[in-house]
Parts: sequence; C-alpha cells; structure tokens
Amino acid sequence: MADGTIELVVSRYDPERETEPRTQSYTVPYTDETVVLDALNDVKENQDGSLTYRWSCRMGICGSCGMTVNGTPKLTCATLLRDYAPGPVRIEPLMGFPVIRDLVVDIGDFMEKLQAIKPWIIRHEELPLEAGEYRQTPEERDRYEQYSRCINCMLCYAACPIYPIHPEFVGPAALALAQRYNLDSRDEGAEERRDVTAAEPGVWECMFVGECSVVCPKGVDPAGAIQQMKVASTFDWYRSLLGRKGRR
Amino acid sequence: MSATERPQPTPVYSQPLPATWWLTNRHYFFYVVRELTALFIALFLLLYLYGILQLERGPEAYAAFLRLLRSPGVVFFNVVALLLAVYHTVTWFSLTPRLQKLLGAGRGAPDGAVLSGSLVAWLLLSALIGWGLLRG
Repeated sequence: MADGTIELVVSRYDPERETEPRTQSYTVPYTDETVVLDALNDVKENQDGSLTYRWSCRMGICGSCGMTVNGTPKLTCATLLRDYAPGPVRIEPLMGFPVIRDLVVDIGDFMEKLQAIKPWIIRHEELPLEAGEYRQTPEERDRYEQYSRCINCMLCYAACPIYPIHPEFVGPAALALAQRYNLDSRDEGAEERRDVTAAEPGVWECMFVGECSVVCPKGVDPAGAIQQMKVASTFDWYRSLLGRKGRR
Repeated sequence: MSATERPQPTPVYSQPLPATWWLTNRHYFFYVVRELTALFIALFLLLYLYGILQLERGPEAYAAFLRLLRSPGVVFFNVVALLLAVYHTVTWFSLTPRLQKLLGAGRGAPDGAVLSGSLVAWLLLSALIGWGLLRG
C-alpha cells in the first residue's frame, strides 16, 4: 500500500518569457490509485494554477493527455504514480512535436497528415439509401478491427525516432489508419490513398524500429500495418511495371 | 491592428532529438545495433573480395593474404563480424512470426514453432554448407 508524497519534475515553457523550457519541482500526495494526470490536476488546483497541459476524458479514450513520463510516451490518465515510487517522476511534453506552452504541443502537423490519408470509407459510387447498409462478415471486420482502436493520442509519433529527423514522414498512426480503411471490405479508396502512403515520406520512410507499437495504449500495431503496406506497395510497383510492358 | 489581421503567432519551442536518443531505451539500442551489423558484414565481404583478387594475382599474393587472415587483428574482426551476423540473423528470424501474421498466412502455427523452426532450418543449412566446404 503506497500512501505518501512523491516529487514531480515538470517541464515548463512560457513562450512570452523564455526561449527554452526549464523544469519545476512539485511534491504531491499520492495513493495506490493516483495516476500522473491526477497529480498534475492536484498541482494546478492547490499549488500552481499556471501549469498548462491537455486532458479531457480521464479514461483512456480521448487521447488528449499524452506526455513523456520518465522518458517514455504515456497516457497520463492511465499511468499510475505508484509504479514510479519513490520518484522523482519526470514529466515532459510529447517528444517530436513543437511545444506551445509547458506540456502542450502543437498537433497541427499530425492533423494535416491524418486528413491527407482520407480516414473514411471511399466508394467509387455511393449506393442509394434504399439499397440498405453495406454488409460485412465478422471475418471481414476482424481484418481491420485492431487498427480501428486508434484514438489519435500521438504517443506513436513521440516514440518514433524517424519523425523528428524527417518531419515530412506521414507517421505511424496516420499510416495505420490508412491501412484500417484499405483493409475494410466496404472501402474502395486504397488507390486514392496510395499517393500519400506509397510515396517516399509514406511507408518507405519507416525503418521498422517498432517502438510505435510498443507504446500504443490501445494495442494497435502501426509498425505491422506499415510493413503490410510496404508489401502491398511493392506488388503494386511490379504490377504497374508488367502492365506498362503489356501495353507496349 | 485591424480586426481582419491575424495576431502574431506565438513562438513554439522545437524539441531537438538528442544525439544519445538511441541510448535512452532498450528497443532503440537493439535497433541501432541491428542496423550497425550491416557495416561489419560489408567489411567482411570486402575482405573476402580482396581474397579473391589476391587469388587471381598468383600463389604468392594468396599466401600473403592467408598470412593476413591469421593476424590477431583480422581474427578478432572476424569473430566480431560473426557474432554480429548471428545477432542480425536471430533478430531477423524473431520477426518472422510477426510478418507471417501480417501476410495472413499460417494462422494456425504458434509463434514459438515458427521461430524455432526457422532457427533449426538455418543451423542445419549452415552445418550442411560448412560440412560441404570443409570436406572439399
């Protein structure tokens, strides 16, 4: 039974006064059930109202509260403080993203990439409403189910050493979601997505470090999705080569 | 400032990737080691090509090459290159069960069986080639 206090060493950055982040320590009470986000809320309520961070649902589904805890990207609402006892616990913004203030990062780049892979069902021709829903068997659903669990928390980008070196890399979550729709039996958009996924900053920028899949809090395997797409992209390339020769 | 004019964007802090990033986590470290193995394997192949070149130049040149191979430095290099090649092979094979699942094949075969099967097949083939070479 852990009941006591623990030291948090929190990264602070005020763009109006500082050119780079500094750290600030806070000592907070904790019990067996206290998560890192609870401790930050405790600091904000009782010690320092200026501490800035993102959070919303507190139950691991909104994907807002991702931060770096002792060097590892974590959802702070699902990270128990007792696992870091006796401390101190380092809390920093997600790696790889520009910091706006304290623990808040700019997620604009990810949002653009997410939109670029068209994460929705694309049909060549939409059926009229009277035709009813698009049917799918449980086996067809199983093919993409794990990728559909992604909550866009961006821990996988923070874990990826390629992303900070090549910021144009489409990245793990966006590519995993592209594959989620490519694998969906109702979708016909794989070709439209290929311009983004099969291009140089798409799947081929990935070096299969695999850490994205390790840190994912929802058990998604983005590294696996990217390797699948590499295989598909290679086959497409051979097919286009043969197709061109055949036409000659 | 007019109403339509946008306010100046607040400066953001770009987090640099420290040069020691690959030492911060076990997975990063083993990844970088796996990539580095390629360097040693390339050097080994260059040495091997040099040997073929010396063989073509005649018996004296080839004898000098064999003496070079026996020098402690080269023996040490070969041991290191061999260990790294084995490391690369084992980590490569341990990805096989995962890739098999990705390609949708062999849903029934358990991961352990795929991995040990690959490793046993690799050892048997290596032993067979080694035996063939040493016998000749």
